[in-house]
Amino acid sequence: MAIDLATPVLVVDDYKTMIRIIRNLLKQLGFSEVDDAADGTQALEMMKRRKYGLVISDWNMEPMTGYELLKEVRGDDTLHRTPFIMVTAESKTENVIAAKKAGVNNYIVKPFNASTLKAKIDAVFGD
Amino acid sequence: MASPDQKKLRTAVKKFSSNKKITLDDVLSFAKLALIACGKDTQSRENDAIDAIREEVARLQSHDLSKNHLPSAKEELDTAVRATEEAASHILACAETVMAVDANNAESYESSVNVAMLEILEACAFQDISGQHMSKVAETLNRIDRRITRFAKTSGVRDWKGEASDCEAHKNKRQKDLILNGPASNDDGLAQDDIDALLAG
Repeated sequence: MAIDLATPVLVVDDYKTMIRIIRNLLKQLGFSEVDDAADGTQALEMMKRRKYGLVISDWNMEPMTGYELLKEVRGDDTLHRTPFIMVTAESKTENVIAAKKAGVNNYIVKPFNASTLKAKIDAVFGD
Repeated sequence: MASPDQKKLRTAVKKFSSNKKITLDDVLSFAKLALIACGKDTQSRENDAIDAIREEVARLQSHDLSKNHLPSAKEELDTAVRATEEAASHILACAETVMAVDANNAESYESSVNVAMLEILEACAFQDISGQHMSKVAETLNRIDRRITRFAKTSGVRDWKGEASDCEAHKNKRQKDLILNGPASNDDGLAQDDIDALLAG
């Protein structure tokens, strides 16, 4: 599955600066449609209104965490196939294993650089 | 006829029976009076222990902490967070400006990059200021640590086995259920390569 750079991407993070950083990196990678949400609840509502080709989410947010969002997405008949990358400072083994079990497509630990983000997006889309 | 100590004890009992706010000092006074009423010598070991605890509680200077040091530490942290955010935002704005400049116009591009680089260098000064604010917060934490450690050691109290409060219990449960460990310190967390291997395995 090749990357369609016109595909809408949803960035979920409660830290505005991180959203701005990821937005800029995605723009550099050629993505033109980037939306953002401040937590899992808002993201889920947006995902039910618009079809996203990729979700990039932080883990630690309130009220709904990225981990809960991932489980909601994978449990939803319409959304369950949406590629999901976790970008988080949570770097314990138990976090990675839990995310893997919940069906995450890839996992990036903060702080990260542009090439890591590109490599993980490429890996998700099989490029 | 009731002795002054017995009168004080009756007053204390009345206070405990009423809905008035009971302080730790009231409890210690009550315990001391009860010992006297039981016929124990006022200079007994128990009495001395109560006086010692009272002194240690006073040495905690909890009002000083809650009125002066803790609000000040919160202010220092807020200032550091704000300074960090402002610097990050400024640096991002510089990067966005450079990314938007037409690279085909060499003169304009060079000028924009030079201006942006200078602004980025200036914005990095936040680290010095934030570091000083953080040092003040660390000093407050050390002060609290010293006072509590001394209190715990002198009073000989053991930790409560359960949760400290319902609020903390709720927070701890959420952290455990949702695996909210927070950023790793030092080598506590996995590196990206280890994560990749875990996912691939």
